[in-house]
Amino acid sequence: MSASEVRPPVWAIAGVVAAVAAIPLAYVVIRGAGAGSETWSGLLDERIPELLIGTLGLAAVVCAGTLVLGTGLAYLLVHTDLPGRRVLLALSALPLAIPPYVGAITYADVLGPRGGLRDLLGVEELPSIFGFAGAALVLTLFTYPYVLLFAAAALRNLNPSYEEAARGLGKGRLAVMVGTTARLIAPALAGGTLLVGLYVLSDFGAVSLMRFDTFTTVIYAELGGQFDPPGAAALSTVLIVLTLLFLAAGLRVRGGGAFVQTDAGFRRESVHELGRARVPALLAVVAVLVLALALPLARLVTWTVDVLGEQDLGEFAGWAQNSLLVSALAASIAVGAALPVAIVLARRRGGRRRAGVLVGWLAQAGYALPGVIVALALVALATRWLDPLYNTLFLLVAAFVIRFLPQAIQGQEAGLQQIGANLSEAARGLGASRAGAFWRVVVPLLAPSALAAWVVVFLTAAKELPATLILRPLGFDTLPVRIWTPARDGLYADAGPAALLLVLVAIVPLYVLLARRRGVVPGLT
Amino acid sequence: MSLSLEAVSKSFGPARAVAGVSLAVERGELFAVLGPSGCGKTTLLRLIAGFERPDAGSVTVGERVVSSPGAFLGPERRRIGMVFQDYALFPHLTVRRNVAFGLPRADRPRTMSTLELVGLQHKADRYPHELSGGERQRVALARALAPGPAVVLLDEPFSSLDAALRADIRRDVELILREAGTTAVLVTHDQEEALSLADRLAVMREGRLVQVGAPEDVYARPADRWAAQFVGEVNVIRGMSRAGGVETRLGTFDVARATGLSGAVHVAVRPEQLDLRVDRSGNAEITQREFRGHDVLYRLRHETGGTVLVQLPSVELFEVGERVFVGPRRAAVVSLVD
Repeated sequence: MSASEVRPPVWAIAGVVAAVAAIPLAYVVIRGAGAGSETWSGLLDERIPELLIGTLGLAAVVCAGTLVLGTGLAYLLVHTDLPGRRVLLALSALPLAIPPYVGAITYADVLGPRGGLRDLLGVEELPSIFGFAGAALVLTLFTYPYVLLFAAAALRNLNPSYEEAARGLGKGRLAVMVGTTARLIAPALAGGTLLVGLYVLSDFGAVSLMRFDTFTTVIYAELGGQFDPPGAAALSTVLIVLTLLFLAAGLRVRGGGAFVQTDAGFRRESVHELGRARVPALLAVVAVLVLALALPLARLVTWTVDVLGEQDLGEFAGWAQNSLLVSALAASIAVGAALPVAIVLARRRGGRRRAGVLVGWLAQAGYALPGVIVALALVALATRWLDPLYNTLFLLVAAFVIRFLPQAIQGQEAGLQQIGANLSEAARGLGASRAGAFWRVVVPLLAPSALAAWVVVFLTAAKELPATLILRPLGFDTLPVRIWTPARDGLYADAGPAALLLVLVAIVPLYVLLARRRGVVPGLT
Repeated sequence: MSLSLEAVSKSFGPARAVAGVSLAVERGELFAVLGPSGCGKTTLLRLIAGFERPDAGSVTVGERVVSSPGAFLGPERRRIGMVFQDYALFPHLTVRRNVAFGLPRADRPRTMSTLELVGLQHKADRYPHELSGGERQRVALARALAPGPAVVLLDEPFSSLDAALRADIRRDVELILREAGTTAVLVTHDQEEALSLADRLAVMREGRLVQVGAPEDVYARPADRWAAQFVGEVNVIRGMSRAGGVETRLGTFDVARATGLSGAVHVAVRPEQLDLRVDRSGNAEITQREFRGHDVLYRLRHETGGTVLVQLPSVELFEVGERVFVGPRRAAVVSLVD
């Protein structure tokens, strides 16, 4: 046994965490498989093919859109001499702070049948925003930062010598861009795009408000009133399989295709001069920022100004407080539960490597579970076996923890990997006990990563919609609930104040995280 | 005795990293373990430190058995100071707090006196990333020395330094260790480092110690052909053992150990144990000359076809293509390596 190996108690806790995290997944798949041939054949005849085409079509269009937007922006803002590119890059990542369902509300209003654009153009009627086109537009505008962050990090880490070597071998600038640069950052682009795809599969709020049916909306509707309908479980099983396929593809691209670049230590900036293309390039960037950031924010602000007088501020503070409470609880528990798993993952080697991989996979089952499905599983489990827990905060927090455990694990695993095992050994060689070495060396060094992971989980939990809708105790309203409820009935303006608060609360920590970590926040992307 | 190992073995899966190593290091001695990468020398060090648990054998530090088949003392209780290859300085602590890490709280005088020993008292409040490579090295050494360990272990201590600095820093480290009077074991793959620094050294290969001795003995009288080749350049020449020495195609050599071997043997002849003179009817021709400043290494083609290495002071130079006579330098004593 080596001194730096993971101790049995840590293994045991990690195993328990992994088992608990995997329960909803196991439950849904078992229920789905046992849904009966009648349910299945009924669904397979019509519902499933239709949903597959709709959901996958939406995912494909949004992936393509975000790939173009994200890569284009990253290229212009990292790799060229565009004026103000540092500020613009930071701004370009901020739409991440606007939940797509909030974005959907603003677009449903602006482009809707009684919207501002119609008034502006002075026409009778606009083509309807609702349906596939609207869902694709909104999801693209508010998820492209995933691709942007991946692409920007890859471009920044790109060793300029490769491009210079290609130029030196007689390739023109365009040929280098396509043949060398794009090839080198391709794994990162694929990674970011697949995250977008995963998000589209799990999204509930934006597609609902855009009135486009995907798996999540249909599962949610099936759930209405009933506790454990077999149809919902069957559809969930299909969605989980889809998600796992996306995940597997993502792992393949990010793991197998990742290039190892020789590190030269200091990196020169490699900047392409835009020349006369500067002005159009700048206009393009500004246009994206207007559509994805300025316009929705402006709409939220005007709504807030309009309705704030009518709002009961005490009630409003209560919703914010509830959001804060569940998100903080979820973040704290998730970060705590993730630590043993992260330790197992970061320090796995030798004989128990496989066991470590298994623990890692199970603990990150939340990745494959859209919020609707986690909620469905927990409701069913609670009503069957743990009735006292039903209609309590416990279920909601548990759903958040399971769903966002992967973020907490990844953030801390990345942090642990930067703490070499020999730092603990050095501490022990100097007379510190195992626990002493952990407290005096690992904890202070891990703290920034753990804090970042906490913030990421907090922010994600604060804006989570479907699980909140299904699992919240009666009368327990959070900001997302108070955004959703009026918006579902088309009263967009009434959703304004809560939406604005939610966005503002997210923007500040997001900006700080992105600025301090130069856009690389494990778990966020 | 400051450190001793008795038949220590350690395997990782099917790979035997350390195979039955026994070793004794005297108090105050500077001992080197020299071997190629993958020979098990770092594992040996980690077994002594207590970072790995041996499969068999025992380790004694000072008077205390720290590892034996029935008992195993954790690294924190062994009174060992370890200097890691990458130094493993705590990045969140200042130099002062790194050095004080292994000391009881508030042992300020000891911290400062150790920092003075390594000449870094003026950098006490810097963080590791603000130091040069050589300074980090000295902080790592100070941190290991501060608690007054029975033995200091150094894992490839100079490998991450610039070649230009290495010799100077090596000298500094030796002086610090000597001044502190500590027993030290260092592992390295650099024969020059081991030969110049150590009081005694062990040559390690595939988990075993091939030879243990003073640097001059190991160099002049290698235990076998592999050790001869690993520790410096060498000509391995076939010859016949006779009463007056070993007769070879380069002449007759005196042999170090009377082994009683007779008949066909091999001897290890260091390049500086040979001599050259220009001779039109000589037995070899110079094919290559490598000028090294204070001396020159010549590569010769012998008339029988083999290559011979000869090293001479650079006071007199021979030209490539010259015909020469090569033979034993006077008083050259070589060793059998069969």
